[in-house]
Formats: sequence, C-alpha cells, structure tokens
Amino acid sequence: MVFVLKVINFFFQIIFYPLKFVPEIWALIIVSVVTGIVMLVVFRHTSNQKAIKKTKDRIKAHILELVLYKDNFKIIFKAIGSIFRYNGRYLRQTIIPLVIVFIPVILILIQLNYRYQFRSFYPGERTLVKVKLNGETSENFDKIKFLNSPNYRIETPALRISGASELDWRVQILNAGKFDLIFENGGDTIKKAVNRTDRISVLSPKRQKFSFAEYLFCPTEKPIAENKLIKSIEILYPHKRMNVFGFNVHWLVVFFVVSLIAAFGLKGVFHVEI
Amino acid sequence: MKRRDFIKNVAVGSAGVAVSGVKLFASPPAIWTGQRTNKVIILGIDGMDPRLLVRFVNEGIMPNFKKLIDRGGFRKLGTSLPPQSPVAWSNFITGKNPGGHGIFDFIHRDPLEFVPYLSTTGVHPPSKMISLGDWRIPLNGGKIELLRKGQAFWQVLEEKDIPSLVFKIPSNYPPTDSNAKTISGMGTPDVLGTYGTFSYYTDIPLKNGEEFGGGKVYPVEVVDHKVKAHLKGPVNSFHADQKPATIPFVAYRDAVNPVVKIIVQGKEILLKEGEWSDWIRVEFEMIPYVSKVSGICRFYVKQVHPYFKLYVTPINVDPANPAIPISTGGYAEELAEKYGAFYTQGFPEDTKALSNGVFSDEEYWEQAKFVLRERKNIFSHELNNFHEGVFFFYFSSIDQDSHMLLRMLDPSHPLYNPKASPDVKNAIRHLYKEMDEALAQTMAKVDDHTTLMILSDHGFAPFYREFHLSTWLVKNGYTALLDPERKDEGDYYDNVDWDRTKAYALGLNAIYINLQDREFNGIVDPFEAPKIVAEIKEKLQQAKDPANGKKIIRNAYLAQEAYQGAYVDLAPDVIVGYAPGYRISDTATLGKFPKTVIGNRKDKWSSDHCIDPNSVPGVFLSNKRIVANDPALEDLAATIIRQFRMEPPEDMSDKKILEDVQNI
Repeated sequence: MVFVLKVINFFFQIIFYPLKFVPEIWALIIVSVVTGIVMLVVFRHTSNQKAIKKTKDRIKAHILELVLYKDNFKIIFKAIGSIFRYNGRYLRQTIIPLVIVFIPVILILIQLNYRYQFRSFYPGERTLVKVKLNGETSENFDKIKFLNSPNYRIETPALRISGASELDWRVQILNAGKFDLIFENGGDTIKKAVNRTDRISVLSPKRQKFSFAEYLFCPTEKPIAENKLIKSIEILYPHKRMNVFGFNVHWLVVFFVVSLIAAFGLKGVFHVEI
Repeated sequence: MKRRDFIKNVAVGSAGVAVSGVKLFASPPAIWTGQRTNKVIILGIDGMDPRLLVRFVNEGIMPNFKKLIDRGGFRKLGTSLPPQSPVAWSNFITGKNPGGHGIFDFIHRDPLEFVPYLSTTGVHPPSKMISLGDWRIPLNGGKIELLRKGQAFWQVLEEKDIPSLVFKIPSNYPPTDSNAKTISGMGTPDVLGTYGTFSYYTDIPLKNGEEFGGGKVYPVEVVDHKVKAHLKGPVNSFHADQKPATIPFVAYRDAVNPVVKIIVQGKEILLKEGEWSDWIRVEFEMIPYVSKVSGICRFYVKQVHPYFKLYVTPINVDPANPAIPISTGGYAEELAEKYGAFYTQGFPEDTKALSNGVFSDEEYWEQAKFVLRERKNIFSHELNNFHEGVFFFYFSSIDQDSHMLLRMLDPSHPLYNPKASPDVKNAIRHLYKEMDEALAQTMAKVDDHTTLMILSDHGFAPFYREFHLSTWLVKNGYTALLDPERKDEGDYYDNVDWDRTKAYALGLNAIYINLQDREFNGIVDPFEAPKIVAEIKEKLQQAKDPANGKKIIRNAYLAQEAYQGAYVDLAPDVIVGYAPGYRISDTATLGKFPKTVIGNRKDKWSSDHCIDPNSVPGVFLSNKRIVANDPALEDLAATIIRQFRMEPPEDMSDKKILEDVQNI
C-alpha cells in the first residue's frame, strides 16, 4: 500500500513540477480547470448519458407543465409529483458516477492541501514545535534533546505535558531553504524537514510513525521508525490565505468555484450530460 | 488605494463625468495638472508639557524640536477649561469652547434621571425586541452616538474636497460622518463596552479583591500543571439571560521550566515567564453560526512558579472586522490589512493594571513601549503615503505615561520609586526623545507647501494630594446626606438627601447647583443660584490644605462667565481649577463621600492635568511663523482651514495664529 501511495505522490510531483514557475493563484486556477475537465471525462465514461438526458428532459417537460397549466391544480400536483420522481431517478443515475468522480478529486485535494493549506515561514517568524512520545508517562521526557542549528533558534525551554506525552518548544526560523529540525534520543538522531520557500512546495507539518490514514494525508516524509521513542514531530506552519483580486479567500473556495465553472462551462465542448 | 476605494472612485468618477460633463474638465484636479496643493501635517501629542519640552531641548536630546523653537515657531498653547482631554480635543476639533461643543468633563449627568455617563458618547440599545424562547430578537437597530456638537475642521475642508486623514483623535467616537479617513481614539471602548478591562488569572488572591476599575481578577486552580479558564466577552444581548459571551482557554505550565502554553480557539501560544504574545484574534459567538464578535488580545505570562499569574489585555475591537463603528471609509480594515492587528481601545496604555498592583513599574513600561512602537510603525507608513490635504496623527503615550511615571523625574514625589530600573526612571525622557524622532520623520515630508503644526492639549503637574470635593460640599453645608455616618459606600449619590442639597459635585472639575426645574428634585430657586455659586467660588478659593497651609484651589470659574455658545445651559455651574499638586479624588468624582476632605495620593496615577488651566498649558509649534502670543486650542481649527485659503465657519474662533498663507 505504501508503494501505491508513493506512486501517487510521485505522479503528482511530476504534474505539479511545472506549476512551481507560475504564480500560485494561477497554478491553483490551472489545477482547478484541469480537475473540472477530469471530472467531466470521468463522469461521462461512468454514467449512462442517454438515460440522464432523458430524465432531465422529463423534468423540464413537467416544469413546463407547471407554467402552462397553472390554473389546473390537478395537473400541477401531478407535475410536482413527477418532478420529484424524476429527480429521484436523476440522483440514482448520477450518484455512482459522482462517487467515482470524487476519488480522483479527493486525491487532488489531498495534494493541493499540503501545497496550499500552509505557507512557509518568513525569516524571523516564530512557531511551535511539538514532539509526542510513546506511552503516557513523563519518564522519557529527559531522554529527548532538541538541538539548535544555524537555521532556527530554540527560544524556550521545553514545555512538558505529561498527560499527553508531549514536549513543546518555540523556535524562530532564521533562514530560507530546506532544513531539518534535529532531535537526539540516546545517541540516535531524528529529523523533521522544514521547507522555507516562496514557491509552491509541499509543506508537511508532521512527521510520524506509519499509519495508512496519516500517511495518505501527510505523505511527504518517511515515517519514523517503529522502535523510536518519538511518535511524531510537528511544526505549526501558518495557514495560507490566498489573495484573489484583492480578496483574502481560502484556497478551497477558489478550487471549488473554478473547477465547477470549468466543468459546467466545458460540458458542451466534451459533450457531457450532467 | 484599496481595491474597493478604487472601484468606488471609478464608479463615482464615472457618474460624475456623466452628470457634470464639461464642468469636470473646466477644473481638473491639481494632481492632473502638476499644480502643487497645500498640505497640513499635525502631530497631536497628548500631554506634552512646555516646561519639560524646554528642559529636554536644553539637555540636547530633542534636536529637531530645537530647530523649530530656534526658528521662533513655539508658544505655550492655551488649554481648555477644564483641561481634560475630551474637552480640550473637542475645542481643537470644532474651534469652539465647551459652551459651543457641549463637552464639559469626562463625565456628564442626566439631571432628570441622575445617572452619570461618558460625556462624548451615547449608547442606545434597540428599543423593540421580541423574545423567542431563550433568544431576544431586536426589531430595530441600536445606536451609538457622538455627543460632541459642532462641525469638525475636516468636515469643513471636505466641502472643498480637501482630503483628510485623522488618526485616533480623541472625542471622535463614533467617528463623525465624513468622507475623510478617520479612526476613533480616546473614547473607543473594548469589546466589553468599557474603556479597557484587563483580565488577570492567578491562583494567589490579590489584596485589592477580585474586581476593580479597569480590571478583573479570575481566581484559577492549577491541576496537574493545567489551568482552565475563560475569556470574558461582551454581554450577549441576543440571549434572554444577558450573560457575557465567553471563550474557554487552557494553559499548560511546565513542572519546572518557567514556560506556559496557552491554547485558545485552536491557536497555540508558547511563552516564557515575562513574555508577551503577539495579538491573538478571538471570536465570541453571539448566535451560533450566525453572529460573532471578533476581538484581539495579548497574553502576558507574569509568573509561572510558584504561583500562576497570567495577564490578558482588554479585548480590543478587531480592526479587521470591527463590531462597532470605529472608523470611516473602512479605514480600520485598511490599516489592519496593511499593519496587522493593533490597539483600537481609546486608552491603550494599561494604567489600571499598574494602579491596582497587577503590573510593576517595569511591566507597565514594557507594555507602554509596545503601544508607542505600534503607533509609530503606523505613523511612519501612513506619513510616507500622505500626499495632499490634512494629516493628523495622535500620540497618546506622553499623556498616559506621564500620569503614571512622571513621578520618576521628581524625587520629592511620595510615590517616587528609587529602586526602579534606569529604563523606567528615564521613561519620560525616552518618550520626548521618541517624539523628536517622529518630528525628524515628519520634517522629511515638509516642503514649502506644507504647514506643520505640533500641539498638545495640556501640560502636566504633580498630583500629591487628593481633594474630596464631595465631602467638602457636605462639610460646607451644600450637599446633605441621608446617613452622615455612611459616607464611602453605596452607589452613585444614593446617600444624598436631595431635599436638602443645594449643590453637588460630579466629574473631575464640576459642581452643579441642585436647581429647580432642571434637576429631578431641584430645590434651589434660579434667582438664588447666582448667590450660591458666588459663595461656593469664594469659599473654594480660600480652601487650604491643613497639612501645609497651601491653597488647594487656584481658581474657580463660573460657567456663565467662562463659556459661550448654544450649550452653556448644560454646563456645570462651577468649574474647579485645582492648584498644582492637588486634584479631586477618584472616589469623589462619582458621588461618594470619603470621611476626610483631603488625603495623600497613594495611586500610581500620580501626575495630572485636570487642574487650573493656567497651570497646565499645552505646546504649539509650527514651521510657519507664529504671530499670536497666546494661541489657544480653539484657535487652531480655523487656522488649519485657512491654510487652504478657505473661510472658517462664523462660529469658529478665528484668531490669527500663523503668518499668512503665501503659496498655493
């Protein structure tokens, strides 16, 4: 399964590579338009297009009935009932294709999430680093050392939360580029990658021991070995807000709006009945 | 220019072209023709004292002010009567004395209902509500009203399309309707609707109790090094029980290390002992999923071990999403977008935390320096972006910090702290130096077409002894008490026997006659009032401090003689001008009756200016020659307007202050 996830990640890395050289809003718009097209194509090949068209035509006909026979309550109630019935049929005809469409969309969303959910740090910016240990006792706290480096400065002593087996530090990011947070545990060194760049890049807030779900949603770093005392290392990246024509919006809003516009706008070009 | 401004301007401009046609081209804006327009830059430095200014200039730490003074552009500036900031800045804004703008004190009273209220702002909740279960739905809007009367100088200027930027001028909350970019200053409340209420979470009881003016102490328990508490928000007027909205937060402390982590609404903040957080945005839910009030606050970890002590600033109105009107033209949002969160409350320096022992002198000074840094950051950028019209920028630091720390320049002051850090001892000097740097930045923007004006609303004096004016009126037979033994207790005036009271004190400098047909239970015949007023004036001017024989009151003024304008009838009947070293006590201000008439000032709010105006003039400096020998605050509005070759309104004081405008 890890192999499959690696292949998916590699595939998306190739897809996203050229977009590094495009302003991030345009990169997102391009991905959203392509996603809209992918949705159309998948929907077309997984749905019964003729049946959908027929159902939609029936719905339109009954709506017309409502307009034409607005003085005849019997016809109106019958038409409303038919509209509900054909709407149910329409949902039945589209639900499976939509579920299938959502599989690639979810994969795209996961990939976009760790490119657009967070922004990298400005030099001098401060953030929290959280380390979780195995077990729930505090006896292992002193075995973990967080080492300073020229790329960051540890500004506080460790804050140890025994109930959560958690150690927290505040760090100040000093330099641009990729670097590692370095921890030591009984002679072992464990690292957590930090990426400080202005370009679109994968920002992974957490490195942890392997679990399928976590790896699916945070697939950029090698899992921490099972025999290590450290369960996870997390750095809190700031959340990114996108500036779209003067408005600060969440990237998901841009994605959904643009991909839906693209899908509806291009359905005629691809001869897809939605 | 913000996008929405751009769109608005384009839209308005297009409409203007359509409507006015040729006229638009008959007088194109100066910016299109390359013609230079006059500019006026005004630095409002609250509380800058002329004696201290001269002293620091002579010490050589204010070279830029020295240059202006050497060019002859310096005078003492006549302050208002009384010299309180809301009154003084209203004089400046409107070009009128208090009789013309209706602001006579920080506190006014309704003579019929007899409830004291803040003089500059009226708050009217919605009058019609319907109840739906636990919820109350307003059927009409509430209203927040600026009570200052009279036209502001920037309103006069906009009649000729002269743009203004007015940053945090006092006595302008809510901001007066205008096309100018304004953001309100002194008088702007926090989200609780107060002038600023800090929160203090601790597991050690305070000797002052849990509630005091300007702050609230929340006792907390530390269990397994974890503290659970709430941020208190505004009263939820949508809810039938009218309880305040709250936000839970958790604080973890390390078992040994002096470090605390605070988690509030998903945000995690890690602070060492003695550290401040950045601004944290919080949202109080008023109606689930429908209505939220956004606020900003900063956390300060005062102590981690052995006791937990966490201070939280008053929750300020979020400038990015203000719940109340604090600016015009979306200026607050614009500033927040450019500079991030900043103090929006009218009094950002937390003087109450120092007065009540929550802050040490050093902690107060750290917070105060942050306020100034934040203010100067906005100042520098906004000044750089200023190109035409009027630029007014207000600095509060010297005023608030002089109240608290001017005692450090006076070793004879009973509250002088010899153990204070050198930083605190030099605080006032530092502030004046900072203003000199602000002037240096300003001078770089001043050209031949620019009039620069620097002014303060008043100076400062020490505050050694506090005078209980209310008790003095009792002792002299003007105020009668229901129970003379019960003096310093109860609510506003609830111990006053109004049937036997001839006069009462309210506010910092005011005495009112209990006048028939004006007060709700007035007993003094209007024909008898002048005699009583004259008698009180005479007696006040003879009052002496039993401790040293010095005069307590330098002058007492009669409203009918001192004020002119449409609102003189609302004025207090006697305005008390204390001698330097004296002021009314805090308890007497709101109608309580301490047992003695005079006592030592023990609060660290230990310097003041609410005394006789002749003792605390302000400063006035300009790059233009000052032709008047005794300029006063109310003369400056017309002076600003004249810089644009406009005639000021007839009811503005129009004394010639500066040399004539030469250039356009």
